Amino acid sequence: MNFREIPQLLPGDLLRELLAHVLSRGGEQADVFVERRASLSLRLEDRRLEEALSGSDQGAALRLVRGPSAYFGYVEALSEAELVRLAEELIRIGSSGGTTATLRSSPSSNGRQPVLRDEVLHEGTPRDRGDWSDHVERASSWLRLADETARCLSQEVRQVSAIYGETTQEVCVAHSSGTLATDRRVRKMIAVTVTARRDSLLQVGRETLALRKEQQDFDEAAVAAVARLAAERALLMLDSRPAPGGRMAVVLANGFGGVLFHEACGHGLEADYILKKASVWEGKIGQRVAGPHVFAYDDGVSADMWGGSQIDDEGVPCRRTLLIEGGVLTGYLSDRVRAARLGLPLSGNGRRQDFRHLPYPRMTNTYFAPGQYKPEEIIADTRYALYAKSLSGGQVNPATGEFVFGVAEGYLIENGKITGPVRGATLIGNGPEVLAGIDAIADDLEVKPGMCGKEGQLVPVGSGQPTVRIKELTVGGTNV
Amino acid sequence: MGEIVSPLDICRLAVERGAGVGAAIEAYAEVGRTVTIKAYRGEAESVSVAEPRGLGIRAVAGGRVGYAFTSDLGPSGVERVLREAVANSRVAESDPCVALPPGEDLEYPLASDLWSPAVASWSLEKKTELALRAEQAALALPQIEAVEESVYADEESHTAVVSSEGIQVESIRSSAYVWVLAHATCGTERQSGLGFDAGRGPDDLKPEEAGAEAAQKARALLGARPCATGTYKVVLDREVAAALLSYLAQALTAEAVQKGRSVFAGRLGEQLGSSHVTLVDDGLAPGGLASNPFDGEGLPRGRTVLVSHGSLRSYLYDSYTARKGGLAELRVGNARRASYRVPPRVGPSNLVLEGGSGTLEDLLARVGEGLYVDSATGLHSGVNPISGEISIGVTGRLIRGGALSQPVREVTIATDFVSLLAGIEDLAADGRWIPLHGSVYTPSLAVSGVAVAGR
Repeated sequence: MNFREIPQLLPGDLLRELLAHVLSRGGEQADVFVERRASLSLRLEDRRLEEALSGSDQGAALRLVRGPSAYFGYVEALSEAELVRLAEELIRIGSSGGTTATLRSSPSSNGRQPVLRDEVLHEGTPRDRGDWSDHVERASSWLRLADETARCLSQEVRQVSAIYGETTQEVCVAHSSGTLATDRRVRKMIAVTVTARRDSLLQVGRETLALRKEQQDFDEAAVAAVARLAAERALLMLDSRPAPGGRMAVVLANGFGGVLFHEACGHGLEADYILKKASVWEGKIGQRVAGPHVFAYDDGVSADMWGGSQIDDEGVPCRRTLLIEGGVLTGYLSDRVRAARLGLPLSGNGRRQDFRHLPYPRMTNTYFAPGQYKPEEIIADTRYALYAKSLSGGQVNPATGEFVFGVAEGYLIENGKITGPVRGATLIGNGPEVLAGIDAIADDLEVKPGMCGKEGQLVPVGSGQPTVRIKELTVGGTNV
Repeated sequence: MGEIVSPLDICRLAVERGAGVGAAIEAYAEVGRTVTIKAYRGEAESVSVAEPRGLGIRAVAGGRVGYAFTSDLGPSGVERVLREAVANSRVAESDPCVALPPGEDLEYPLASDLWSPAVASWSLEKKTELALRAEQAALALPQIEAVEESVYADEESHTAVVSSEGIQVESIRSSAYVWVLAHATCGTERQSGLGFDAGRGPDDLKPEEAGAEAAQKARALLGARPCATGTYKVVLDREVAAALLSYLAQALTAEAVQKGRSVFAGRLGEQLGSSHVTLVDDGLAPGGLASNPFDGEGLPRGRTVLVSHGSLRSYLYDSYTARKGGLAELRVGNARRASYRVPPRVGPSNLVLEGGSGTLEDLLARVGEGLYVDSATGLHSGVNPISGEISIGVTGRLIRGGALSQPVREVTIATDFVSLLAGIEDLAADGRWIPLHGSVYTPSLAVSGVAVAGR
């Protein structure tokens, strides 16, 4: 593997010693996750650049997997002394039994020194606030541009909140299987929220622009475009009618419509739920779960998608995993612990918010592959449906398959034509039923950036799809 | 693990070092210890221990504010974060209302019992045992096939705020939680339920009750199906009521009001809710896990009546919004700190909704016909704190003849903040602290005129 070399955060010898030490009283796996993160955020609201915020996080986490248990801790410093103390504590907890159950010892790894592949490592300098100076001026000008663009559209635009965020995360993972891997991840995002008001009615439009390329910046036209889009949505929703309530066909537009796959299926394919039989998709590999026109992927490698990286947070190279092939379920998303327990291949989905958290199987970028129709053909072929142009997120209970997602911009389709806008509403359905109910897929695939929460951890993900139609879903409007 | 460091000493050091930087300086530091134990099938699935710590600096000069944070608490880390905060303040644009609050003549309330010695004295084995007991209690009930997770978590947090304007405060608090996610099965059907308990320390927790609550919630949903679409009288369980109140409180912050993104702007003194509704922000409520003698800016916490017998009485203020709103009293105490990594921002402490009468059963009997809602999903995508619109997925039971009947799933309820307040027509007296969405104490409540979408 040829990972991009980044400054070594801790000496390789120390990482090696820590792994050997933490495994010295038994255990199947251990890893050290070292992280340094610099972040900058700027916030403009009320026509004023209100706040500039920056910070540096650095820390390291140690994990020992022994029998059924994972013992985990972290220190908020890249300090050898603190890490050694942490290792001692984990050994003590792990062998005295933080658990009352008898721990199965695993003599095979007793005292064995893990071999780490040597990499060329060199010294780095911590990223300082000084490094941000050049960004700050440019980022401020983008926020002002967003504000002006949105406000000049209408007097009814009453508030614009524009946020710029940038993080540089350097990680180094040493795992007892012999992996020593590093990654440098740069993420930049602009989020624009526009509030429009008419009499006592308030409506909101929100759009984001994201990049994960270090050497590339947002261009002004793109910034203005998202601001305009957010403002237009807020204004349009002032003219909307209350959404209908009840069961009906739903056409989901491309892009953020991909929240559908993320919630209806994606979470349920994460191997922690599979291992606990807490997913409606457990035991369904090889089974037909959707029509033959349905293909779906988790794609951690495409550089233009927000949720990917070179390696996951357990040092496993990211990859593209085919999850549904012609309607047949073909894969789950694993991390090291669940892959070992379930005998699954490593899919590069072991992710964590930062060094303060245990890794879990998480999606990277998920999407349905393009189909054969044009989006306008699907709309023309629909008699009556809710047309969800933009979504505001969603949630699922993997154990029951029941999921919801919120519509930020909706319309009705009546007799093959998009008619008036309708106000936001939550849609609710059951994952396996809804996946089987997808009866048309267009050719306009687009993947949008977002954040996904699970186990109290937020990670960047991409969600995408072409335009799709679902035969029937429950629409939670007020017009019942 | 690390040496014992005092957040007060760190803050003092930072303010001392910041004396010459040409800005007013506020330092906030936290040093804590956390434990999280997940039990699964009679074993510890994971045991996590950590000592989070860090420092955040707010620098204000000429009406401009900058913020910076670090976890490097050594002298060079402190110097660096001061430089960053001051550099950041130069980026912001000036507003005459931006200033650090003055520290003179502040009187802090006595807040006792914020810390339980049991958090520190209980061994990991004993804490693990607690999570295992909660799991066992759920599994002991019929139809409970599995417990997806049974979690014990606690936190000790030592925080301090010191400013160049004379503020100097510190406190030690602790909290402990247990929560259980149980699955009930019948044939091929599976339903899940959540049970929880919270307190200052592990000795406050009743793990068996949390386990049984999860199991009973899951079992009660077996056989659930969508109910008919229509307008219902809805009884919100405390957990759902707490979630909606915490979103509603975002629209009651002076920040949202002043920035024109609250449906409650310009409505002080109006009768918005029924006369049953009294909502208070109580920064010192005994039993409230957000209680503390001071807020995120180091100002004394207090008690603010937001809605009194249905009438809108006040918004929530921090020192900036108080100054901006022309309030004579700046010491309003509703600045919140999520962590040292973010600046203080106005928000609720403990929200308390006053109770009505009787038990949940009494309330159901008074309601007669309707829908009882015991869990909600899709809050972050389905509740819009600006437009005030609410549309969320729910599960529950139909109310027939004044009692619970057919279980219901895969339906949504939709309303908005103003209609919700106006529609609260009855409340039980079964108040409970719900720590899931901030800190909210609420009884079960009945709301009329709610749109339900189902079959």
